[in-house]
Amino acid sequence: MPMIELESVSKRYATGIQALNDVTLSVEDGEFVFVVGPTGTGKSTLLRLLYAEELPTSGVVRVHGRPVDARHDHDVSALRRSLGVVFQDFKLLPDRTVFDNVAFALRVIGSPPEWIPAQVRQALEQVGLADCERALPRQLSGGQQQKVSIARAIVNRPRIVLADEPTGNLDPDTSWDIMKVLSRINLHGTTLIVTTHNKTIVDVLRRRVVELAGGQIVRDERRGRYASDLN
Amino acid sequence: MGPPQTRRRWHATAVSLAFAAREGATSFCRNGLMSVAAVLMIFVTLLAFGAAILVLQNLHRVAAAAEEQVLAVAYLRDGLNTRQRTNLANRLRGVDGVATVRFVSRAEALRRLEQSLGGRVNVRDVVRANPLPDSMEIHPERPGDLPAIAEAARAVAGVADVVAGEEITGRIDAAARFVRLAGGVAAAVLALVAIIVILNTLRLTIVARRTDIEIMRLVGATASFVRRPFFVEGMIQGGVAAMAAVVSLGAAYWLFVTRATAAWPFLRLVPAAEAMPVVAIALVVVGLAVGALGTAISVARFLRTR
Repeated sequence: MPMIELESVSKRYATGIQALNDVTLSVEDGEFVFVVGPTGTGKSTLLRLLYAEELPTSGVVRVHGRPVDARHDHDVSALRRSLGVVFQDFKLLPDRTVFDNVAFALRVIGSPPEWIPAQVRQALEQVGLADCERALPRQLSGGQQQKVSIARAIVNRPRIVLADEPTGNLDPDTSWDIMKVLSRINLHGTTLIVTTHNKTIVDVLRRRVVELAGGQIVRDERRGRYASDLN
Repeated sequence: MGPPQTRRRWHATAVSLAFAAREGATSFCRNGLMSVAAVLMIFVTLLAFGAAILVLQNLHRVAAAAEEQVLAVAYLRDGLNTRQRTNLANRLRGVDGVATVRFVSRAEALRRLEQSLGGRVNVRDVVRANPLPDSMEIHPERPGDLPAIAEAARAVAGVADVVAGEEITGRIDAAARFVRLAGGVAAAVLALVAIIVILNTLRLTIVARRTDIEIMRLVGATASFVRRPFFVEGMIQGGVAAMAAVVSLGAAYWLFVTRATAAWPFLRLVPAAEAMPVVAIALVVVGLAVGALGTAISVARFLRTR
């Protein structure tokens, strides 16, 4: 059973912009998928549909084999607890420590307080920030902040992590550092979908590449490059 | 002890409520400047609302006192003896619509005059003899009956003159009704303004915290879970502002009543101890309710899926 499925999914915003047009995609458990394409081709919309931030205009989105149903608040919450999401702008709470930012993800889903410290420390160790738990986000570099964001995404041990341009704000060396962290997470069996404009990373890692253009999938290669070999 | 599932649910609820209380209180302290601005705004609004209630209470008292003053005074001819005065009083009591008749001697009338002047003027220093006549105070059962009563009293032997102030009585009656209505409307409008101002203030604080809400939602918090800490924070803001408004208004009003009645003894202001409980209840209820509901409404717009 695929971990993620989109069946003839289209998304038109109220502004009239057609972000996705009849997209069909299937992602297996444990896969690492890069979604590439120029700005405005629907990459972020695709991810937003997966964590039910947006609803499709038509078609069906399935995660963990179940259709994404955003009609009920509890279904949306349950879906998001089974996913980790990483953003280009980190989305950290600036007035909380690294520990509290990561723990926040557990606290808001009602995790027993006695479990939280161990899980947070384990997540921080996984991203290599074990010694920064008392720091505030502004005391960290961009790369470290993104690692905190990744730790928050994986602290609940989700089977899927979605990363929207995770290296978009980072220099090349730091971008590699972040991709190593994400690759390690994928090695543990977590399904990973990463939207990116970073040609070098995609070309070196040679993972599955899905290319979007004009809201449609124009290429889907098992071990692809950033640009099509035909280009 | 219930089954394990029930215990787990109770535990989860307790954890969630503890989180809401802790987060609400922490956010209130953490967003220091924003919290202070919100509390100040709510405080000023509640102060105006509370002052309106105090004014309304005093207007109500003035209106009630004015209605009590609706009476006819029958001035008696000089030289009536006790038996004649008793007969006259009995005849007045027999007039339709009369509730009570009370004899006021000229000595008592003089004493009342001196009292109404604050005891600072001795009338006898100004005029040697008491110039006031004996009189009968006639209270009607209904203020509207006064003109007919006055007419009938004028015809009673031994009555020199009757002052009923029929026109003034009518005006007092209308004014009392107007004051009550206008005061009620003004208080209602102020309450509405208070609610709108508080809602807008809270909306601004929530807008400033939309990242928190977004993150909470993204990591899987339910809408009700997201709302709760803001609900607590809103109640703290409303409650603190209401309490500050009650204390400030209570102290200011007590000072005002004390000074005003010392300077103008004829003023019949509602004492602070009598007026403030109503104000305190109104302000605390409005502060807590609007604080809690305001945040819940403002947060709701960030919880919608598109």
